Amino acid sequence: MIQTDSSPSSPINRVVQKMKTEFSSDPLSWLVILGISSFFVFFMVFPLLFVLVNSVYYRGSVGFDAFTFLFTNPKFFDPIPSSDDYYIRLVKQEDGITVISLSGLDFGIILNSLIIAVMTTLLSLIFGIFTAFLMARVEFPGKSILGGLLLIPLILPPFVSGIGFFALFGLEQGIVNRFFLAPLFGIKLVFEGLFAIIFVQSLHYFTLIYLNVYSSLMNADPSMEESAENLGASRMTITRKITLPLAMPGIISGSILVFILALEDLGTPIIFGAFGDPIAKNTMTYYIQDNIFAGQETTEIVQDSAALGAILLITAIIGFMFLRKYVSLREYSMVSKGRAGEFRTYNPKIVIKVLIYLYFVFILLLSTLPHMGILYTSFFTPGSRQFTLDFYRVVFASSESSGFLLFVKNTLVYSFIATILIIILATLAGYVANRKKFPGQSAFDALVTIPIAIPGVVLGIGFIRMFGSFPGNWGLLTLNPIVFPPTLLIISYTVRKFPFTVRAVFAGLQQTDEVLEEAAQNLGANKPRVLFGIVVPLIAMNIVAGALVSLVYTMSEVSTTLILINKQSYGNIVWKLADISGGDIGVFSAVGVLLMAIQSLSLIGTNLLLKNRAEALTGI
Amino acid sequence: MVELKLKNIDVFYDDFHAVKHVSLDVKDAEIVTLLGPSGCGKTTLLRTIAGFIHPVAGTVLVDGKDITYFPPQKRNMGMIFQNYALWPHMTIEENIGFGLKIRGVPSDQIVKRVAELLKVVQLEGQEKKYPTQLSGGQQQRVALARALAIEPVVLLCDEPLSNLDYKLRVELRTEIRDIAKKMGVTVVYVTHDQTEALAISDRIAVINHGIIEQVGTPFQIFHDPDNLFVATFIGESNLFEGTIEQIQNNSVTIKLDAGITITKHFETQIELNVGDKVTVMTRYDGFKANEQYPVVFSGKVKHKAFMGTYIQFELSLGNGDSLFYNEQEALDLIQTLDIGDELTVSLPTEKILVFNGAGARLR
Repeated sequence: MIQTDSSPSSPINRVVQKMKTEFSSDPLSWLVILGISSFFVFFMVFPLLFVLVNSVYYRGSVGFDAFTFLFTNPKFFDPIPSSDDYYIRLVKQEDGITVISLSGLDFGIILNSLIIAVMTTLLSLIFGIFTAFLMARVEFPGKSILGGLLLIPLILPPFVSGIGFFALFGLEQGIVNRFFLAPLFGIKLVFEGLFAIIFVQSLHYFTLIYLNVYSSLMNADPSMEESAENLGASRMTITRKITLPLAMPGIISGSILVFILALEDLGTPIIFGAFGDPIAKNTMTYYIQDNIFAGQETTEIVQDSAALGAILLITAIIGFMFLRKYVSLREYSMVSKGRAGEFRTYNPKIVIKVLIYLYFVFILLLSTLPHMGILYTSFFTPGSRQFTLDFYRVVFASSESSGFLLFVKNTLVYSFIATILIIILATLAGYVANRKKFPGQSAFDALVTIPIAIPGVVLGIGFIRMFGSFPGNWGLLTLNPIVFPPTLLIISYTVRKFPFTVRAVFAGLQQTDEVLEEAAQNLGANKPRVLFGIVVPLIAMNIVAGALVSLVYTMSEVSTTLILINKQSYGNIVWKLADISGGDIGVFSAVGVLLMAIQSLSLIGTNLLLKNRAEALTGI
Repeated sequence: MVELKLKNIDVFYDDFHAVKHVSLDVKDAEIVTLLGPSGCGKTTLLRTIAGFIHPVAGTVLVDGKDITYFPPQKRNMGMIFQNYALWPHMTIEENIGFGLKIRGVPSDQIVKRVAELLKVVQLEGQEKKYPTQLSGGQQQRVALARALAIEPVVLLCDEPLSNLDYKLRVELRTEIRDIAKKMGVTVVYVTHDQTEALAISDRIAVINHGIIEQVGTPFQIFHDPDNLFVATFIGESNLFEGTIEQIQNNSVTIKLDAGITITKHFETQIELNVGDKVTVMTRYDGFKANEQYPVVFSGKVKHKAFMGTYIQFELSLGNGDSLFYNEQEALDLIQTLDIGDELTVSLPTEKILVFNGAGARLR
């Protein structure tokens, strides 16, 4: 018989006793910590582990064969691409028009994705930092309007922008090529391959860098720049030696975020792939969602996909670890106590101002072109430039059971339920993470913020692998996505878009003095009463704003949507958009415009509530 | 009848021993102030009484009942905080009535009670306003009313006046004392401001490095300190190093390093020997320029500052030590003195306090 040490003074007993005391003194917090941890372990950690295991354990054998295969097969890894590929090519057509194609070499699936992520990050950095500096430190009329316009790129997922791009630069139908470049200059401009994806993504993601750097610049202590000025430093020196280093954590965290998002983006490759661009299909996310099941009767994942998923996941998590390091560093440059006045801004000469406006016209034109393209093609017939409402009629005339209204309804149902779950979970999680000291706090903190870095496609295939064999007869609680996708889809939205709200809640709590809670406790309020009577009303704005951001992003979530939805009747707008992306551009655009409208409303609300606090928008 | 007893309280922050074996009795309706420098453990002790911190050892007793591990909400203690801690999303009425609502008091009675309390803190008619519409002083009055509304067994005050300007501080501390006395509430008050402590308290507990150095009435703490820390922390003091030259029964002759010889009579025989080092302390007042007391200091005027009701002199003594003294009476005489002039002042022997090498008072 095994003798266990259970005397009253044994260390185990004391630990158990301590845990009991700790739990009984604050049961609510402990239930939250345990509940939320279990939720994320069950719906995020486990599915991801399934993918990782699937990548090294396949049909009874263990090994790194899949990885060896990936790195020795030129389809996946091709550092020396074939000579047929080109960066830029000019071809004179029979009608005398020169087609200028901007493409890029095909370095194989793995390298392509990494190149896209790195190049998108670099381009976003250039535009993001420059824009943030202008907005934060230079004085010119119309700045507040520009502040709003700069958020436009956020209201369309990059893949809808992709369609907008075809509307403008498509070889035959593109408005710009057909009605502007060809008649006036005898040329047509075509974006293809990696170049097209990088271009579309950069125009979307530079906004995230801009928001991050802008918030770093606005939150720094003005006296830091002033003291340098006082000691005789020139404006250039101040920018180089003070402003930039202080904004560095913001710049780095913003770039890592863009890198991760660009790497895991599935929508853009899907669109360009659907329009027949072969190189666009050669990206990790495209390959994974196109090659999920290893066979007819199995929930096992194709091992190449699982291995690619593992590569994506590990890269993203490494990025996230750096991200956390720099996000905590950002606190250094923040004002801690009181703030000596406002930043004095630089009021440039008129010539410089004109140049600044030209820059903004250029950047806004580029970043809103896709939106204008979509808007145009939703009202005008392709080719004939005839105004029509037919596309909207198709959308609205469709019946609720099969047509677009069904997709709109599904979108709203999925997104709203997910957002409600997010509000509840994020408020509770943000509260304990901010207010309670407990062992394993940093692990908990990582658990609730890491979803921002988890590639949707990997989570998607993890869900299928893990839950695919679950019972399919639990009604609305059915987790098996093959039988009934909506429940797991809502959970996937909740997991993936949760960090945006938790970040906002956290920011709200940081600005709320804990003494307000102590005062209530002192007067006899118990924990739930303190939470719901004092804390929640005080940070209500932050919760609402964070929830709106989460809502906007759930409505445009692409990866798990496309992987999990397997039937028309469960389809939502994004799923339908991907379904018709190669087909009827007019109807597609009309749906895109509707999505844009719903998102704009949410985003305007968020902007009004959050003002310059970009944390919630970027989720870090 | 409410009596608060702290018995051998020990509080740790990880390895830091913040409160060391502290015991303190607070009698019914008494105002006791915890006074000490920043980081001395006074707020920690107050938060232990409130239940926000659990001590590692020791007990907190209210009327003999052990409440050491009661959660804050079960202690029925009112607390006012340095930054008021009024809930910005509630009106003044809702703030004050919060504790009553939790206790299930009917709303008409809450309204009545709130009105009464607003009258007590002189804020009648402000029920519907929000905290941000009030000044700092008014907000702290609301906080006081909120804490008193629940008829607390003990009122805890955590540096409640620190955020207010000087005039308001003086006004409000008198008011808090008057209201507490009128309502018969037991109060534990934390401050680092000695003037505030002297003015508001029935008794003061001087805390340093987590230990209570002395508990006594404000008069005792000021004029009859137990040790060098209390003597120097409260009020202004001159300190001189000296050596015992002669001991005759209870009479001891001390030679200061500044060259001055003092003979002082103690109540009992002191446990020191000839040649032992001591510290001699005087306050800035009690000196006379135009009278002959036994203890005489002579020196050159180093600084002279007009302070309104008195003139403060710094005299440079023979060995470079300084003597500060406040002249309140002979203003005409003294005003003619210039920097560098010689001045002789004297004071009675009983105004001299002597401490041994460990800082303990020799009585």
